[in-house]
Amino acid sequence: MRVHLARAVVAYDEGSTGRPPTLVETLKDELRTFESRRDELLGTSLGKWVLIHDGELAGAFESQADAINIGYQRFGNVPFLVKQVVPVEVPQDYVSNHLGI
Amino acid sequence: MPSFTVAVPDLRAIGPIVEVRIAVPQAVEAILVSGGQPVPSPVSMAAMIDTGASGTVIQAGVAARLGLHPVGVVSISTPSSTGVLCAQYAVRLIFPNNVVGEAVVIEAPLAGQHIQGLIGRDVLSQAVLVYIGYTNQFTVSF
Repeated sequence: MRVHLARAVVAYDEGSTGRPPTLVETLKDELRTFESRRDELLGTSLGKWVLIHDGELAGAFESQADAINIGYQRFGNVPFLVKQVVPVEVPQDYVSNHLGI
Repeated sequence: MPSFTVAVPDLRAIGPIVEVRIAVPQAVEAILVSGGQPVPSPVSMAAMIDTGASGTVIQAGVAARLGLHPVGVVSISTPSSTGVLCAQYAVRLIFPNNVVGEAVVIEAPLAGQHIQGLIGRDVLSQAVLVYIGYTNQFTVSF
């Protein structure tokens, strides 16, 4: 999955999907922190939602909503990363061709 | 039970489309209000109820109009792409009859479509969807 994620970031940054690269670039440090600590988090926070801001792990929470609300309370309306700690990340699936991706 | 019913002239041809307003989530509204900043007006869009979408999607650019920043990144697969990373945003969804809910949605281009959003199975997981084809209407209850 780590390889898969890295490939996806590259594809996105190159603009091959037609989307601006700044979206992932905005959370580049947070994604790097998540990847570098993934193994540790799998041992300590499996299934939980981690909150990462400015490249620092700010906590692990039971639900995505909890992590997001705490993120807004602590950091304000700024970019931060909330991501679930799972061994294998399953992509969201879109069957129809509505998306221009 | 909060619900809304939509009648569509030709449900088979057009699809289950509902007018939904996208607003900042309550947590962001509280931040803006406490800081004396204006709360952006909700953005209206036509969204399709899409059981083939695992998550809800808003048209690219809507989050920026609301002054929102990403709260996550998720990998998605479509019929033509796999492993594409999309930014996620926390938003409030305001359906007809003032049925309101919050969701974490992705932003993606829906260019050339007659819709600007998809209501996916993340929202539908909290709902009952009744699709009555022969009367050209559908109901969503939460």
